[in-house]
Amino acid sequence: MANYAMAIDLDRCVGCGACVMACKAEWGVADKHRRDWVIPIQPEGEFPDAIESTFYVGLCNHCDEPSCVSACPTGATYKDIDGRVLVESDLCIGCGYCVTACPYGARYLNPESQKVDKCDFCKTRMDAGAKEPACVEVCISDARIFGDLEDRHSELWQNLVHHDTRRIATEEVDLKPNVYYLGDEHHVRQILAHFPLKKELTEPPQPAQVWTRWILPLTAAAIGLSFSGQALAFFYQLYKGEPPTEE
Amino acid sequence: MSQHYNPDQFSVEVRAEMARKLIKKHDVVMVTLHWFNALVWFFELMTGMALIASTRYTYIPSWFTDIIVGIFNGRTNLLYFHITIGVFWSGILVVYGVFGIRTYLTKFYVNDLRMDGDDFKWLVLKPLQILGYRIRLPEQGVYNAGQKVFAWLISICILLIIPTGFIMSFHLGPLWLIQWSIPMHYASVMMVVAGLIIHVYMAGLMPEERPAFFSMLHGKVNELYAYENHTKWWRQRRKDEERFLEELSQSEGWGPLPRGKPRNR
Repeated sequence: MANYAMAIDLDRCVGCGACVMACKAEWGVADKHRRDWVIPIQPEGEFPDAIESTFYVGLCNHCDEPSCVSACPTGATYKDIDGRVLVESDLCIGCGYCVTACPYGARYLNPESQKVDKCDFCKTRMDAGAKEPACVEVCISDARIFGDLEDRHSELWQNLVHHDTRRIATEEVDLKPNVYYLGDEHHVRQILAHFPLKKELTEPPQPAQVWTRWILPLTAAAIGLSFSGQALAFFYQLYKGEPPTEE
Repeated sequence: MSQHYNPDQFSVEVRAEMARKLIKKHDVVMVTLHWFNALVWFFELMTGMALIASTRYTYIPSWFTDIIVGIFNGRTNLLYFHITIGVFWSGILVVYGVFGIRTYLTKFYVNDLRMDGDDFKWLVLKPLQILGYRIRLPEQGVYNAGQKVFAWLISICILLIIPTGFIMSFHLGPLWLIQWSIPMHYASVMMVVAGLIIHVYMAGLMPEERPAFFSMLHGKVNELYAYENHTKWWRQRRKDEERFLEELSQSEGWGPLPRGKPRNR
């Protein structure tokens, strides 16, 4: 049993996008979609005052309290024993509830398979013997560090212990993500300013909300009413006794 | 005592004779369809309830889900089973609809299930009667108003359940349609369940309805039950029979027989 996580050092990232390419190549990600991303955030401030820029390097956060898992009606999306949030393709009906419920936008509907696809920390690769995901392997500046939080000797653990780390989370939305950001504190603040985390981003789409708020209680009430009605009739039948059925 | 019994109308001997005489109410194909439906509903309901994994969308306790998932050795098998049975069921319903359009489908929905004023009165009075009030109910046709309402409910819900099931299983249509199909599938199934509880109680447990239950096994009810519970149907049936016998007595020699023995309703 492991607890896989990733750290991304935003001070080291040069925004080359090799990680995104490697991921696309490894998984045959469809055009216009991605499992991970590097988004340049434009410089802020005016010269000669502080000019800050960074890259939003992101992927599925493999959260400990994932909103996508509770949004999935069929159980296709689940948290595995090694801390990864995975999609069981056979169970996925491609409803996209989880896509809407992920506040990071880490999921997409694969137009070919019509099922949901996302980063799985390269599970298949790792099962086949690789030590780290494709994006980590190709990173030219070692900005991505992958490892097991259970392993206190891992590079990941050492980095997390010896440096200040932040996660893309706010007081309003904290899904206990497992992607940690190293580097200047300002970077994550900038990312959050450009990609604000809001509660409504963790909600599934409207049909699912109608289901939870209206359909579920109303149908339960109908069944309850019907059951109570026949129970009442049955109790009365017991009390009254039966007439002879033969005429 | 049954609700339509009029002590002045028939002598004890006639009543005893009517109680012995069995008359046909359901055709074999409809009895078969009924129990086939019951079986399908049992399996689809059990597997369907267990397919909803997130507690956000269901009140079904997880231990129940775990048992069903355990029986099927995983959710994937469960899903495939649910879809296979559902597709097979839809196919059978289509076969019934296509080949039985004249003999059953039209007759059932146009004649047998048409609601009239008596039916609405019956719906108000029947619950009071069940609760012990001594009430004479309005006369009913081959199906009583409760059965008619249930038949309409289940028919409308099936018209929602099957298309939404296909949309979900085979990813048909745009994303919004798939997203709405899931709660619609659930809602229509649950509405049927609400009706099914009453249907099962009335048919399975109510002493007055015993003949109705057995008629779903061998297709027949005794004439006294038909007279007391489905008076309009009984009267029509008797009228048809008399007309047939009269026509038969008028025909002489050889040639075409009068138009068949009247159908059961």
